[in-house]
Amino acid sequence: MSTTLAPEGPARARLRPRWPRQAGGQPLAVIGATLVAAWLVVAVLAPYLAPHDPLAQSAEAFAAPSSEHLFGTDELGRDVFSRVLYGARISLPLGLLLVVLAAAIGGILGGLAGYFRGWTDGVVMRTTDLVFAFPAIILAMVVTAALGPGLTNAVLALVIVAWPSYARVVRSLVLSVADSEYVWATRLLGSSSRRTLVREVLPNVVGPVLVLATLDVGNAILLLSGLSFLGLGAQPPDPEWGSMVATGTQFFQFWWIGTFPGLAIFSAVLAFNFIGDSLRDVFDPRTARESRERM
Amino acid sequence: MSPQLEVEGLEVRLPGSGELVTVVDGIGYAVEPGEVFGIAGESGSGKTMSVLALMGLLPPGGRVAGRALFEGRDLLRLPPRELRRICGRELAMVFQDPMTSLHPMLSIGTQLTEHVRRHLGLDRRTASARALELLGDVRIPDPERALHAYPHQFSGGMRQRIAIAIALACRPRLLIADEPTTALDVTVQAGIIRLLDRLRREAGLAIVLITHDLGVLSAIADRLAVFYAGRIVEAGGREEILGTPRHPYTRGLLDALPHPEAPAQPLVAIAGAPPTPRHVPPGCAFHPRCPYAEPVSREAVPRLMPVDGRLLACHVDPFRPE
Amino acid sequence: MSALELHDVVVEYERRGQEPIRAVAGASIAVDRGRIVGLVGESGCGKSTLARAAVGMVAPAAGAVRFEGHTVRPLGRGMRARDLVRLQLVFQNPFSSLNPRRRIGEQIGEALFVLGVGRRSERSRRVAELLEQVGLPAAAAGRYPHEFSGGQRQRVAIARALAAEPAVIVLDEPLASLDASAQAQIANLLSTLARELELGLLLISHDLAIVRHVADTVAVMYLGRIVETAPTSALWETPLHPYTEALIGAVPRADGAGTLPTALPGEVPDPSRPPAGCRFHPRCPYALARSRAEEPTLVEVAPGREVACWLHLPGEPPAPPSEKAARLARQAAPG
Repeated sequence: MSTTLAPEGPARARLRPRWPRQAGGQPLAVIGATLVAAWLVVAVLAPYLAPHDPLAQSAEAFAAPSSEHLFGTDELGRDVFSRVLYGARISLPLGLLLVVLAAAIGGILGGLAGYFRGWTDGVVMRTTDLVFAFPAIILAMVVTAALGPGLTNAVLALVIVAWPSYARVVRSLVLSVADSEYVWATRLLGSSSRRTLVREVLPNVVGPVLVLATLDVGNAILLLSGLSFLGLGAQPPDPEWGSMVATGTQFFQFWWIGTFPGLAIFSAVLAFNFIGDSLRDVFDPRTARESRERM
Repeated sequence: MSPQLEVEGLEVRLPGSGELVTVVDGIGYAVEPGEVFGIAGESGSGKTMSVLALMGLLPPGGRVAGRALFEGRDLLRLPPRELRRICGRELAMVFQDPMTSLHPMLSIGTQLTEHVRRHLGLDRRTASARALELLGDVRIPDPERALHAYPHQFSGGMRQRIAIAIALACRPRLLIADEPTTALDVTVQAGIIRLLDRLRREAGLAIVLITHDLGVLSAIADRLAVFYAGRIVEAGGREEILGTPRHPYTRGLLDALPHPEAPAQPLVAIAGAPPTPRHVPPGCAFHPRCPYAEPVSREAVPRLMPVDGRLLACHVDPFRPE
Repeated sequence: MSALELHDVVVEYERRGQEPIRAVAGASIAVDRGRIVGLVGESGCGKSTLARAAVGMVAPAAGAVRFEGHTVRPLGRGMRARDLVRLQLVFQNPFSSLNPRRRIGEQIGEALFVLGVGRRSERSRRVAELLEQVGLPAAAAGRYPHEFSGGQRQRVAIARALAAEPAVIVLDEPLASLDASAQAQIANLLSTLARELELGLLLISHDLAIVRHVADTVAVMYLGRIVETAPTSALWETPLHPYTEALIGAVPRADGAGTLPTALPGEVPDPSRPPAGCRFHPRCPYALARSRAEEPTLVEVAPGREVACWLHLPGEPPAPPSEKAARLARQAAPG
């Protein structure tokens, strides 16, 4: 029947995300955030933190980890530690860039498809179907091969592969929000489509997309590393983690060459996953959940 | 005759944000066999929780105090298995929303017979016959076909009749109905009210009828209690309470009720809104909204006292006849 | 010419592989500024659909909707026509009709933005005015919907509609989700606003008693058609249509007398398969042979009173159905 809610008096505004405080209460989020922050610091300060030039070859190839070379040296005598640090300057920004581009392109296309329906919707959806028909890594390989190997082309290829998921998610979010009564109310007031999309629809879509995107950064880093592993992304002598792991597989007995870059990938991906999970928890309770006082 | 149900000092506390909140604050009433006892109140008054406590259906973490004697046995102290045996058999309940109180995937016949067979141990043939009889009692058209049909094929009013049929399958002596007609159209509601009235006359069934709609209680209740913020503020016979209400809240409720035959004047609304259980005002819970409140109203919780043939909890008693 | 006019509006819902359902099968209503028209009916009668057609949320399959002389074109995906902004709608559910993620001040101010009130200070001032008009404190503008009770949210929704400076507001069951105190307060608010702001209100409700207190004219709807319209007091003193009579008799009175309400036999039929002839005849205690065969149309039997029933023929003075039925029976009996 009827529900009575918050009293006339002041009530806590619970809609602003209690992110810092709430996330502070969750250990995983703290770990994740700390790790990401650490890697970002490393990425920025690599030139000052790295003891050696990552590209400098030396005669001491295949040296085991020591005080001189914390992570040992690789097949060309380059310091693995420095290369891992510099690798952060490639994987992290590119992973983030990849996700931002895919989310933006996918989000806009999916949003327009969901709001305007009709012809736009048809075109966008058939395109996503087409992309989904191929396994991600195969498609990425095909595009990179066609464009030529290199990090830029690898990122481009991965954006092409990644945007449809965002389009799908945003489209379905927009579909449900666009039919809600408050959006109808705004449109009845004469609001333009653009204003309605930005003011009413967008705030309700941002949360879930943010969660999806954060969880996706780990994936992006992995895919990028995968392409580099296959020789289609980073080219020598770039100190990219994926290609370093590839080299490592050739020299299994010198375990440090592949293991440390692998651990770097692992820790970055894990960190973003932790953050994404806790973001999801922060955004979920936001959706209006009135306490039905059935007394 | 001893009462069918006697509730004394019932308190219910529910968990909420770390602490226990009192939603029912020491209520007591008695229901005689064969009578319809009405519980009137708005949302937040504790009316539903008070009966859920009787049936052991409180949300996890809820605490109960007091006594609830059903034919001499204290429902609040029975072991769960005993309580389950009584509920559904001697004591039954009908809820507000007929959409969710029937199992969507079982046929009506199954829901009726399963119930009867479990509690009374009847064989399939007898159970089916009983199911047909019940559907006839609640006036479902074409009962034969209804047995094989599913809830979604019926309207809200029909579903509520079926829910009543299931509730009455084991011939309980007390039926608790929580807002049974609130979700229904007014003509359908009229049919359910008449049905309940007929059933209780024919079967000598006692009914506890919970509703915010004073009109429904006026039609069918013998005695009633008015709930506010977890307490009873006025109780007594239907004619006394609804014809000559003494508590300012009861008065206010009746004045706020639009009445198709009353002259068209603005409705006299009670200012403000009922308090939530966490913010019950001190002293008399109604005093902030009461036009007759006096300083004493803020000091102490008024006790429910016998006054002129009814029970009244009010320090001021502004409508006392001189 | 009334501010809002619906002429023989038909609204259909498509169904896959089957005939479309006529939720509204030809209804006409007029709403004048400063007057409140109540539209009552039970579930399945099509009143909500009619409300949506009235503001252009759904397109009628037939008939016309006119607002201040303009045709109400249905709202597609584009922007609503400027001349229709003064025709507003308040929804039933105050929880879903407000955006949970925007402050209510912003939502109320939405119409102001559209109307071109550019400066933020100007908008804030107007929002504060509107909040006061609906009985909420100006400070409420900075809060979010979930901080308010149902009754308060409904006031916010009304304020939002008022911001568009409407001539007519259609309200679809605005009181249904509220408890008794809130219902009375909002009902009074609506009466006051209609009077003070010269607003036309089309108030849709299943609750006859509320409509009795608030509306000037009442239209009764059954299974997609309007069966009776009359000034409110006349309708309650002398309902002419048997369905109206049954509806009024079914409302229980809270007087302590213990009178059972009268029940109406049968159920509302499936709108996709309405009965032949008069739609109400299977449940009507006075059904005539003609009722089974022909569907009656709304005719005026007294100034301001229309009814669609074969018991009431134009030219005869209006009388309750029982009297009319008795007279017809006498006429039919020989001798």
